[in-house]
Amino acid sequence: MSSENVLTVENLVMHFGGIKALNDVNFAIKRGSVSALIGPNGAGKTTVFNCLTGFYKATGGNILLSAGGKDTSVIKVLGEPFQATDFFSPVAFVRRLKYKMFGGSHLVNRAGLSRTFQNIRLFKEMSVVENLLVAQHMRVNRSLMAGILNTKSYQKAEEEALERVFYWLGVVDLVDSANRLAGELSYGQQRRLEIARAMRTNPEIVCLDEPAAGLNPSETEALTKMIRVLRDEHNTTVLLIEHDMGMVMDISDYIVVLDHGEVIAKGGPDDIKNNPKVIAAYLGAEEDDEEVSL
Amino acid sequence: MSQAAGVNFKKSTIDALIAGFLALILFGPIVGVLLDGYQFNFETDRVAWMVAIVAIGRFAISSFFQTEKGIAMSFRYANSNDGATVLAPGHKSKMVWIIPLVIVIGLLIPFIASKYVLTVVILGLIYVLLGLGLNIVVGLAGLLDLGFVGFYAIGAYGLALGYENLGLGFWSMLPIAAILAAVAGAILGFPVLRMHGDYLAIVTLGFGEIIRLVLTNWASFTHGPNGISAPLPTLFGLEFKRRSRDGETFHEFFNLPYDSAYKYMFIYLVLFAVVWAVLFIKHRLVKMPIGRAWEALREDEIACRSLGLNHVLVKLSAFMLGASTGGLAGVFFATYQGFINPSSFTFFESALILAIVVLGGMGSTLGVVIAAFFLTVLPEMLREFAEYRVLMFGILMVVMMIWKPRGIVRVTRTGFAPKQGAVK
Repeated sequence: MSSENVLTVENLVMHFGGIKALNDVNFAIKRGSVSALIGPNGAGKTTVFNCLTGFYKATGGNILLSAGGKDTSVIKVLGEPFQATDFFSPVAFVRRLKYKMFGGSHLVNRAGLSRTFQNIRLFKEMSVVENLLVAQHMRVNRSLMAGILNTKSYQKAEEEALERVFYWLGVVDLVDSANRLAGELSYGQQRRLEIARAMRTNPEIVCLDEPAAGLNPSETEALTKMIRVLRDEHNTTVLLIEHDMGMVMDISDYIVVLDHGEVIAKGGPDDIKNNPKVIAAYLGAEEDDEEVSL
Repeated sequence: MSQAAGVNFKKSTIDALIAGFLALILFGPIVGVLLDGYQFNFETDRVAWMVAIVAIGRFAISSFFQTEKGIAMSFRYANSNDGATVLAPGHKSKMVWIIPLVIVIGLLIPFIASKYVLTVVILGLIYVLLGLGLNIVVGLAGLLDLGFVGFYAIGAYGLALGYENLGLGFWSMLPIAAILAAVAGAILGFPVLRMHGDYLAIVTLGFGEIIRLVLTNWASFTHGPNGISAPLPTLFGLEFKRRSRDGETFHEFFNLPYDSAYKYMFIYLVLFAVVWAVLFIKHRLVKMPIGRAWEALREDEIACRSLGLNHVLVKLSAFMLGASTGGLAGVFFATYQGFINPSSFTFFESALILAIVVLGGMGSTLGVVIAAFFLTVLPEMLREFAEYRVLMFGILMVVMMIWKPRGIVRVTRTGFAPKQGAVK
């Protein structure tokens, strides 16, 4: 199972107090695919994303990420509450304590899953290059002494990091803006930079939260091409939330449709297009939703 | 910009007349009327001088700002509210010339300046250290710390208590105090790192007060409000006292007459070296992955986490490095004063250090150095106005916030020359 699916979500439940944002969500993402998570506004798409990437601690269920040759349980690395049995088994206790103290969403990223945000979250007062250098934090020479003494190995690591930065700036067509502040860039450039930054952590699966929001049609087309490059040249699985149905149907191999915190349909683009449940959710069988973009 | 070529002298003259008239109103009664017993004399020539200076000055400024250079300058300053600027790749800083000059002047100071000036400069340098320490926490990592004085106190009391209880001198306590303060930073940091902004500020404020209250009330260990004396540094075992209980003293060894200024000279030179070392480390840190991580954390913590940065460790490292610098400053403060008590470590000190960082420009090393000297040396020079110190302080802060909300020195970012990309 783990070799074929990079991400498996089983019985995912997320409650905020009395609000049941997600009820029993199940899906699996195949390695090397471009998958989309769609649904009307408020269906719980971003909540699923936040659970996958470890920003929310899911109330129940299981999220299994098999990347980098090992399986990671996303919920476990966030730090679970102590159980009675832990007090008899020191190993389990220490492991749980470790995750409780030092665990968090950064471990999900290190396990090979990275994400972008619906409202762009760049380091606005840092230059474009620095934004991408920060993303390589885990891959450079972080030794304090080496950095302060500016040793050969440190310089080499920094040099390599810069080379990778400029490679990715080339991919997202931002080489000319390399030395501008990230906050000064135009909206479309910021979107592209954020994707490059997410890719710089070398993920096996990248989750894009509405990458085409606010882009004009030609920019959307460029983005579509870029996502294909990510998948084909960098062996990255892409999972995206998107409202632009044209784009979703164009690039997705697999689509999961959410409504009211439940998966109402999953399958290839053609299945989804003709699925009566999906049409009902979007066009509104009994309730009226504004989202009419099919 | 199109009319930049010619200077409109009519406009300049009107400006000069208005300024002169205002100067007349202002200086007329203040300078022109001189009390002499029960009557008063009019001193018109003094007023005339002042008004003339103001009018000519205004004329010159008004004309200058109509020239191309002046327009360019005002344009530059009008845009100064935006944040950092990115330097061109391969930018050569003018600091390459200024730093050796400052080092030479700095090394000459103890031999030229009087003892009083020297003590003021030492105090200035201590605040430079404190400012640099807090700059890591507040300026780079963006964690508002109102209890920084706690680490300063730990450093100072570390020296005094280490000497009293363990017989450790200045040189052994210098690193130990830095480590102690760093450990205290970690102890404070760990539980509060999940907090942001205002909440963090309140907790750190409490921490600073706890340290001070413990020092005041744990009288059996710290001698409470009576204070405790701190040892002087030694030069390879030579003491800077008039006479020593064991061994020779500095002036005996070198056959010099005793002078209490020697110890300040020595403290100054050691402090000067330590400040340069800290400046260098700080300079390297901001270019290193850890420095970038701090700044990224200040910009957006959630994005940082999504990139695999362990925000707890990044924040802890900022707290610990900042605190250890504060601890170093504390050791120097104790040895320079020779005596410390808890009243040196009140909240006002924390506020002063924070003011140094904010005035200097958050994250700017040069700005912090300038602001530290400005805020410590200026009160010494304005001894007559000592009662109004806090008032002037407040006015200064308000003026700065209006005039330069980003601090004296704007933060610049390194530019990177484009190069061939490669995937590895």
